[in-house]
Amino acid sequence: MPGFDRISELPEFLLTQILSYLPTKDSVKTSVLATRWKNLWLNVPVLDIDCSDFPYKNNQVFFSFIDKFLEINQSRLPKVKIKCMTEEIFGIQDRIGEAINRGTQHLDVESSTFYVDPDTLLYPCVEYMPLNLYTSKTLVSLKLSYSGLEDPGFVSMPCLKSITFEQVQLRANENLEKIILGCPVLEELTLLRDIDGNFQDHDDPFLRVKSWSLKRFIVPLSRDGCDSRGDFTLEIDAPGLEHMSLREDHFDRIVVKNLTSLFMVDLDVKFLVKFGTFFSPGDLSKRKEIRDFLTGISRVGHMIISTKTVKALTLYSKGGMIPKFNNLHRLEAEFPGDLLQVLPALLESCPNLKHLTLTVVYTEENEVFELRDVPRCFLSTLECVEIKRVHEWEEKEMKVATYFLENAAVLKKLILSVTDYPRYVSDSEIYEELCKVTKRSPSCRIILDWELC
Amino acid sequence: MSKSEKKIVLKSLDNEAFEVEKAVALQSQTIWVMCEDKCVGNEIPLENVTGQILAKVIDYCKKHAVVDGDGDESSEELKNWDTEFTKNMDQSTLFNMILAANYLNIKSLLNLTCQAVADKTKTIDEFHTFLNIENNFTPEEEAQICQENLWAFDD
Repeated sequence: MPGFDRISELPEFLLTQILSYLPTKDSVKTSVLATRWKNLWLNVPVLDIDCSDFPYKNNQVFFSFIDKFLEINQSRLPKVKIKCMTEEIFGIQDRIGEAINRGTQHLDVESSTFYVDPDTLLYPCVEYMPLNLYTSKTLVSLKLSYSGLEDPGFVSMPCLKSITFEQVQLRANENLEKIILGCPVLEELTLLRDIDGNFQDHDDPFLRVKSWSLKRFIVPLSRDGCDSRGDFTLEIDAPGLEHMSLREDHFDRIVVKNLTSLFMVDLDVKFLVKFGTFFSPGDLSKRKEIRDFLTGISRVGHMIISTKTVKALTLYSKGGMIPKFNNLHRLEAEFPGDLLQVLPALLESCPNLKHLTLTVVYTEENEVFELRDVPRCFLSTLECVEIKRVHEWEEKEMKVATYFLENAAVLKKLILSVTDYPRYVSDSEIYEELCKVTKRSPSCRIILDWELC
Repeated sequence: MSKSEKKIVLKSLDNEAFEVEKAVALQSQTIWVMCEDKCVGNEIPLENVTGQILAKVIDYCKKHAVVDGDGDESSEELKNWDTEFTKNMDQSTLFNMILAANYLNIKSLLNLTCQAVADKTKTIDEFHTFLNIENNFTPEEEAQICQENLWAFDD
């Protein structure tokens, strides 16, 4: 029935539910639609505001709006999202505290980082979260960016399942530990450190994540991508942890304990030593630290490693064997072309590997490498090899593919993902060339796959 | 459980009958309560939903049901399916779907359909065009309302 307004006939609680999917600014705008809609926005159970939408340097408008909203809207506020301006709005914590008291389940706050003094000079500052946050009985997910966390005192967040802290200012690192200990059902923690934090406790470079319930721990990619610059240690003690993803070198040392449930790791770290450099193979204490880390994660079934981590493992292997990953059945590795020589040694550490996904990043025209040693998994378990992002088809690419075909005894599939990058050789020529190789596993199929780049 | 016990018949307002797996139908809290009550037999009359809408609701429930372990589709696939499901619905269908999801008490479907209306109406003009809402304010009244929250209209 086009041309006919049915939606306005819905009962008010359904209309406010529709409006709850809009940012508060857009829901306020619906007040001019028609009389039915005039005051609906005041009963929407969500507060989602960006302070920069309010007139600059006129906090009165902001406060009178938010106070009216909280006063008239007496419903629960399951979702609260507040993006502050760069400059502090004095008194905003009280409003966040008030919102938390309304049974908030999902809280997302991006705090200010500057304070403007009467002479309009900017100074860095920290906006601390109200203390009632730490005893919320309703909160399920919490995301804080740039906010300050002081000593939380008593922490009890019985429903909190997911925490994302992006560059939060921990007055003391033990504050994080206290918060985590007060969350008995916490399953996911995403932690992006503030490397340059002015308000961090630099005398206490130790952060402990200890949780019985934690399943996923993530250090995400950061916008500026910088490495730790101090001597900072992270300790993870989580017997329920299943998934760990470390995408930044935000910690100088990572100590893992009791990772008995670990199933998957995704590593893009170089086990740095001061100021972002790779360690030297002769550095015994760093070697011990890396060995303990690798042993601690050695039960994983699925591992993803970047060129950086492959390089670090290569350095490590120069001074001795990499610990065995006996449960590892799937490995996805991005290999620098100049390190292909160590591929067999690395695979020797994975005696039960079934599925290998390999992306080779060639940097020079003529990289020289020999692939000779045959790792144990080639004889008994390796069933599928996938070579990704094949741009060119030259001697080195052929050499890698031949290595698997000639040596893997139980291989069922060799998959080449070729890109649409212009090549001198056609797909069928690649296929024919590979079919001429004497396969150690006669039933192995060669599959050419397309990959968009 | 015998075969007949696993199936259930849903009857729409316009007397259309749909035979579905019980596990599919029980995603509706309303039907779940009716079945628990045991007052109804194997046939459940749904007096507020037309056959046309009920067919769509059943499609949704089938997609989201976990029946004998074959509901192992990835959450991303489900999300894409959901987006496609509501993409081309006109406002009258969405309106009826919201009412049906509310009456049948299927929370995820209610969220999905409310979200779909919100997604189609990002601006005030879209509200007017997609939902055909007629503005019954005088220009003075409208100006007065804008004035009260000028910050929101000040783009």
